[in-house]
Amino acid sequence: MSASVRVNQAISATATGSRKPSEPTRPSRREFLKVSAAAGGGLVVALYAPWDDGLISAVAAGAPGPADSLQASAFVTVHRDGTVTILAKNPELGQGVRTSLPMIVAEELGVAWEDVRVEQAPYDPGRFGPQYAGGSTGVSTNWDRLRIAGAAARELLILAAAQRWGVEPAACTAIDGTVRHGEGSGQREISYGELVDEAAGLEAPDPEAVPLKDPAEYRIIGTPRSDVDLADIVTGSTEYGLDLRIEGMLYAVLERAPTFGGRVRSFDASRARGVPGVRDVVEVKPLRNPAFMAGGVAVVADSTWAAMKGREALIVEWEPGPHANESTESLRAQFERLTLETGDIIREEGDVDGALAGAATRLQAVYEVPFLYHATMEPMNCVAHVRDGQCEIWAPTQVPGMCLALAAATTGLPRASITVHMVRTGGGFGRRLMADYAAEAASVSQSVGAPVQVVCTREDDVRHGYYRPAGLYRLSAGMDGAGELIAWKEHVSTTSRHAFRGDEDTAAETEVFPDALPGAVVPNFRLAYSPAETSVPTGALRGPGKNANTFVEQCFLDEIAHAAGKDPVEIRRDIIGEPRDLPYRDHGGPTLSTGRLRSVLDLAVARSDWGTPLPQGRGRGVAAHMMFGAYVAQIAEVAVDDGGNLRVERVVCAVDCGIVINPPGARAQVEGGILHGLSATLYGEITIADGAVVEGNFDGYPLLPVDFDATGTRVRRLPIRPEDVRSG
Amino acid sequence: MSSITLTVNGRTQTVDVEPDTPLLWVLRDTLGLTGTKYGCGKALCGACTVHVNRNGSPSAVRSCVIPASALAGADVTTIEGLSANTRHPVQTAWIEEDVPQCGYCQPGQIMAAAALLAGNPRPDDQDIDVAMRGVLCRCGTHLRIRRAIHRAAGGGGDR
Repeated sequence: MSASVRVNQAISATATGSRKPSEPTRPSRREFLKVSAAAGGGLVVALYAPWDDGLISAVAAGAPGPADSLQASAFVTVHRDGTVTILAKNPELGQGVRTSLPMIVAEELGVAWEDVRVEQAPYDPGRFGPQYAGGSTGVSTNWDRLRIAGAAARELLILAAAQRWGVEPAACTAIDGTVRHGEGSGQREISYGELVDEAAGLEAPDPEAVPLKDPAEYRIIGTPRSDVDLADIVTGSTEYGLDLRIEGMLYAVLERAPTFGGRVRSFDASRARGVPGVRDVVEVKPLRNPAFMAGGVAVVADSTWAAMKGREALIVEWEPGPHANESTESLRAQFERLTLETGDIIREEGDVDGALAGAATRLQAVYEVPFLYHATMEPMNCVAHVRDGQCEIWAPTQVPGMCLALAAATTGLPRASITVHMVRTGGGFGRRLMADYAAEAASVSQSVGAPVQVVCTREDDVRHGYYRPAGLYRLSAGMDGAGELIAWKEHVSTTSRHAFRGDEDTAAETEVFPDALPGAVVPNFRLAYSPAETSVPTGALRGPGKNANTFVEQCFLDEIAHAAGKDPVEIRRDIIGEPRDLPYRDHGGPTLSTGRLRSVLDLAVARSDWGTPLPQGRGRGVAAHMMFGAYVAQIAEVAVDDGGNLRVERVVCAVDCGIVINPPGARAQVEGGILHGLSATLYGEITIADGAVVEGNFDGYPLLPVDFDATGTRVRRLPIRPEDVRSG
Repeated sequence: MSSITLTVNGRTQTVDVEPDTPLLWVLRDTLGLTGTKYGCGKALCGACTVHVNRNGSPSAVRSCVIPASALAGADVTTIEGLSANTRHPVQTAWIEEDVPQCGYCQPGQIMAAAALLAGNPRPDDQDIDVAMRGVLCRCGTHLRIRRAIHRAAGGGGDR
């Protein structure tokens, strides 16, 4: 029953960088720049800043939050030979920040990109400020301070040159690693490398007063730059987490509970210990909140293969936990029941029941989405070395800070005794916003007294993930006699990740978006939420919350358009309305710009031949929304054959994400997002039976590239099945 | 344990491993060649693709399911040995097309593409899709992979 999909080559992603940069958020009074000499000569500039990282605190709830101390956000070192080292402060998972963030520093510094070397910063928020990859915040949260750090170094070099020449700094310019003064035959220039020692002795400028470049003069930002690791990747020499080899390192695999919420009752390691290469078998105790690491039994060996073989011989007795009978069907029944109740009213406008009762046309629909698995190509893994009251972690992660916090909680060591190294990571997509692997590795290393690499097999990774929540969306809409949308009622029930972790945040926070369009502008509106009870672990997945809500709300809007006899683009233009800023309380706010949303919709329409006739068996679908501050409109052209097989002929995507630092990087992210979305739409489904995940590897959870609306059939559950396309 | 002699990247070596150990783990854990990646362990994702050379012609194999003992005397090439100077036409094309995102699957993609071109110097889109279907990428580099293979087939780089 597998539908086949081919994505034609015509995917065209248009990343627009139409917006002018906003005025920089100037550092607060507590921020300051520090200038020093590099060991062996050179100029080092750091921007110290107080750090309050809301996101890390949110994801690490249950673990101690980061200290609010004076912290530095960026390091740039100008060497005597004129080359520059810029530290990449954030984890790299393929989103391109090891390239794009240093580009920002290099731009303001005024050096040629070819003279820049990028090195990975250690995890040290005391020097670098917030260091994580999540919420699409990498560029936006670092934009100002990285510009200021680069500009401060440039101003110091200009000042050093001006002093040497006895001229006004304002009469000097800096470009391509040189400071220049005068014109024509009277022009002088001196390279940065010759100035670093003088510059290192100067007083740090006031970050509030550092001049920033006019974007019209940008020579690096907005120009295409290859990934700084490109040459290493194509030769296989890049070290990912799974490639780390520490001297004396052992390999471990964990046997985890066969049902979510299960616990080790007892285990018999005698046969496992007899497997050649096996060194030890140790229990891994769950964290106090097992949502962060559920424990198990680790088989530790000389090689990965020996550890896997040893685990096959391990016998564990389990406490099954409270939801051992849970299934996709039982959860669905729960969603059905909960969405017929009142639920928590998240937002209410006007009189939705009255408006529905009086509506000329009424529509009702139930949409469903399944659990999704992240399927990073590099499975979860982590190296830890606990010794002499210290713990060192090498983690492929989005949250080095949470790795540290969980390693502290696991080992009982103080946070100051724990070091976390970031390594290039084979994909994250939100899975690595959790740090269970770090806690497991620290626990095993502490037990066996050696450096240990904990490795998830693909089956471990599929069956012990933090899944995109499953959910059910019960919707009603009402139109007046003129076909105007006057009422929108929506009740959502999902397995919230906040509820799963027992966070203080409301369960609804990542699951529903009360200020999103279209609901937010419908005069009679009610949004209700009911968290379902489950032991299935849930977490963030690429576009968390939005990836489900947008599917549901944009599809239902098409149903309304169809019922009202309106064009799907026109109904969106009506809802978007005049250019204005609407209040938006969720991440990406505080406002939603209808003007920017309209612009991306119009651009996608213009590039997609919207409205032109299509042959039989082909159709187009449209969606437009704002998420995490980026505005996206997408139009897919899809063909459906008699067997219900879909073929995505073309996807046009218009994005306004603000200033684009590295265009090919942004384009790759958009193309990747489209393909990830298609993969989820057609194939993505984690099934629960007997309290556990049924699928185990890529045979059960295929990846690949969809969209629809070619047959006139409404698809209301994901993934799309051929029978859903054929029927109706 | 048994001693198995095999040639990897032109170097003949003897390793002492359990005979059922897949080539992947011999490469990664015994020989320290970590460019070949683990992705699934069941020949479902292609991240572990290497070449086994027979009669001078490379064929792409999934190293995660081939026991080392089945490769006694075989001549194996991994991503580290694909070219002496990183200038295999596929590697050059990968660089010119900026193919990788996270990069983790790319050694397997490159080895599969190199084996394709060795047997079919001018593949069309369909040939490429068929040959590359079994090598999964989660970041979505598929379109650039196809372009890079066409570029490599056009003779970019020096072999």
